[in-house]
Amino acid sequence: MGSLNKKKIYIIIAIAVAVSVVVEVLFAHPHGHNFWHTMPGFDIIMGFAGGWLLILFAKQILAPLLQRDENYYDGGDGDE
Amino acid sequence: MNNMVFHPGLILIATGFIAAIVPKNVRKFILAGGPLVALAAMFSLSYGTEWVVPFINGIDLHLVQVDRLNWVFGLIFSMMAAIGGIYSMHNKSWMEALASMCYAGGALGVTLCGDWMTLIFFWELMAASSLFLIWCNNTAKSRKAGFRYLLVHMFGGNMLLAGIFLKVSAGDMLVSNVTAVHDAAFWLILIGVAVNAAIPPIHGWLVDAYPEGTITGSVFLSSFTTKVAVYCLIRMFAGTEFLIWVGVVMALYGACFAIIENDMRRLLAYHIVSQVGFMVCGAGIGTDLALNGATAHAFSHILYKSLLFMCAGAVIYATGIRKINHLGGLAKKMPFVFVCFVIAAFSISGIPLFNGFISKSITISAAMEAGLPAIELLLQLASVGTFLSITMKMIYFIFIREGKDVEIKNEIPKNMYVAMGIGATLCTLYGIFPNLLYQFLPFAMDYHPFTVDHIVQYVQLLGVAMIPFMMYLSHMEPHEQLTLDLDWLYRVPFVKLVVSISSFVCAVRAALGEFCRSIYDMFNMLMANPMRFLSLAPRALEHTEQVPEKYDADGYRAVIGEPMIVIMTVFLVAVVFIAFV
Repeated sequence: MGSLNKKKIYIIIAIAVAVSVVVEVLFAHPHGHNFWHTMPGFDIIMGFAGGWLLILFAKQILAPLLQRDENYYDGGDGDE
Repeated sequence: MNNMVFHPGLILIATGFIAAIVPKNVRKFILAGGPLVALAAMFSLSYGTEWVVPFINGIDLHLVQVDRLNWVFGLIFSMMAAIGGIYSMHNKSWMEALASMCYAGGALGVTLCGDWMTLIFFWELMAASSLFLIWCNNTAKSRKAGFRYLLVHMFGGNMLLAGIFLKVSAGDMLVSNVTAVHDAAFWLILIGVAVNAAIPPIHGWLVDAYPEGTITGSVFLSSFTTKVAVYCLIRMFAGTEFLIWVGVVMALYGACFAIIENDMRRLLAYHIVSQVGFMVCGAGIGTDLALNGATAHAFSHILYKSLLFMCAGAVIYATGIRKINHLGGLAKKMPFVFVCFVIAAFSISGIPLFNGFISKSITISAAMEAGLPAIELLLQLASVGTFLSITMKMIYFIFIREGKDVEIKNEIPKNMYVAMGIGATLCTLYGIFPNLLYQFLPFAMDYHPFTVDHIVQYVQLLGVAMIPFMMYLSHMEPHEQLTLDLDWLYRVPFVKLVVSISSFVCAVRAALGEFCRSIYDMFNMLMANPMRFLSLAPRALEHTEQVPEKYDADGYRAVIGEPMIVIMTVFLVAVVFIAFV
C-alpha cells in the first residue's frame, strides 16, 4: 500500500464519513437513549479509538508477553 | 407421537458409512448427494414432529422432538453438511468421509433430540468423529493436537454425562432449561457445554486443534461443535446472567489474539471464539430478541466462517503455505477465492448487505434494549477488532500486498470452487434478504436491520477503524512466531507436574519393591525348608546343585515358601481386622 494509495484511501474514508454524518444528522432516528446514540459522529470516535486501542494492546502488550519461537512446544513439525 | 421419521442426522451417518465402503470414484457422489437427502429430510420435519423409541427400563428415547429453536439449527447444520460434502468431494480418504458425515450427523442428533440420553450419545459421537478429522491430516502436530483435543473433550463429555446422570436419576428425562436451581447438575452440564463452546479458560483446544485438521476437515470442525454448544446454551441456560460477561470477554479475547496471529486457520479459530462470544452473550441476556440474535448469529456464523475456512483451505491447497507472512498478491492469482474471501470477511465484520450484519446487530440491539450499555459498547469494540484482523489484515497481507512471489503449485478442484460459490451466494443472499432467516427464528420480534442509524453506525465505525490499521501498517504484518494461549497450562506446567508425580511414584515403587523383595527373599529362603530353623537342613542340597547320589525326599519336595507367605498374610490381615474393626 504505497503512500499515494494511502492518501487516496484516507480521502475516500473522509468523504464517506462526512456523508454519513450528514445523513445521520438529517435522517437517523436513534433507538437508544444514551449519549452515544444521539451524539452525531460518536461512532467515528469509537471506531478510531477502539481500533487504535486494540492494535496497541495486541501489539505492545500481548505480543511481547505471549509470543515465542515457532518450535516452542514440540521442537518442530517432525515426528519425535 | 409419530411413527418413524426420516432423521437427517441418521441419514448423514448412513451416508458416511456408505461413502466409506464404496469405491473412490463413487464416493464423491455419495458425499454430495447424501447431505442433500438429509437437507430434504430436514425440510420434511415440521414443528411438533416427534420420534420416540422405547429403550431399557421403560425409558423412551426422544430421537426427534422438533420446535422452532432446533429446527433452524437443524436447517443450518444440514445446509452446512451439504456445502462441506461438496467441498470435500475430491477427498480420497474413506476415513475422513466417514468422520465428517458422522460428525455432522452427531450435530443434528444433538440438535433434534428431546432427551438427555440421546443427547449424550450424539454428543460423544461428535467428539469421537471430529477427532479423526484432525488425525487424518497425518502430521506429528495433528496427532499431538488430536490427543489434546481428545483429553479436553473427554473431560467435557464426562462432566456433561455426570450432570445428565443427576438429571436422569432425579427422573428429569427431557432436555430443558436447567437454570431454575444452581445445583450440581447445573454446573456439571454447564462445564460440559462450556468446553464445546470454547468458553475461556477452556477454549485452548479450539485454537490448538482446528488449524491442524485436514483442509476439508477444518471446514466441518469450524461449523458444528461450537454452534451445537450455542444451541445447548440457548436451550438450557437462557437468561444465565454471568454468561453475558463471559460472552463479552470471549468476543474481545478472540479479536485481540487474532490481531497478532500468523497462522491463517488459527487466526480464524480465534474468531470462532470471538463470534461465539456474541452468541454466549445473547444466551446470557435471555430476552426473546437476544435469543433470536444468538440463533441468527449462529446461523450466519456457520455460513461465513465455513466460507473463510474454505478459502483459507483453498489457499493452503494451492500454495502449500499456511502462514500469512509468507503469502501475498493472491488476488490476481486466485481471483475467485479472493472474491469469496472478501464476501466472507465483510460478512463476519458486520458490513451492511452481508449476513453478519443482519445477525450481529440483533444481539447488540438486544443488549441496548436490556439496559446493558457497557455490553453494547464492548461488543461494538469487538466488531472493530474483527474488521481489523480479518477484513483488513487477512485481505491485505494474503491477497493484495505485492512483493511476495507465491507459486501456485496445485490447481484447486472444481468442487471446492462450487462449495465456495454456494457459501458466498448464501452470505450475500441472507444479507440482502434478512427475512429469509428471520421468518424461522424461534421467537417473535419486530426488528429491522436496515435502518439509517444502523447503517450509518457501521459505516462510521468500520470506515474509521481503517485509519489506525493503515497508520501502523508496517507493524501489522504478523511474525514467524507462536502465540501462547491457555492451552500452555496443560502443555507445559501440567506435563511437568504429571512427569514429576510419575517420577516420584516410580522412585517410591522401585524403593518399596526392593524392600519388599528383600523381605520376600528372606521369607522364601526360611520357609522353603523349615528345618533351617533348627539348623538341620541337609547341607548338600543348599550348597551344591549336584544330584545327590542317594534318593532324598527333601530334594524333591515342592517349595512351600510362597503358599506360606500367602497363608501368613491372610492370617495377619485377619488378626488386624479382628483387633481393630
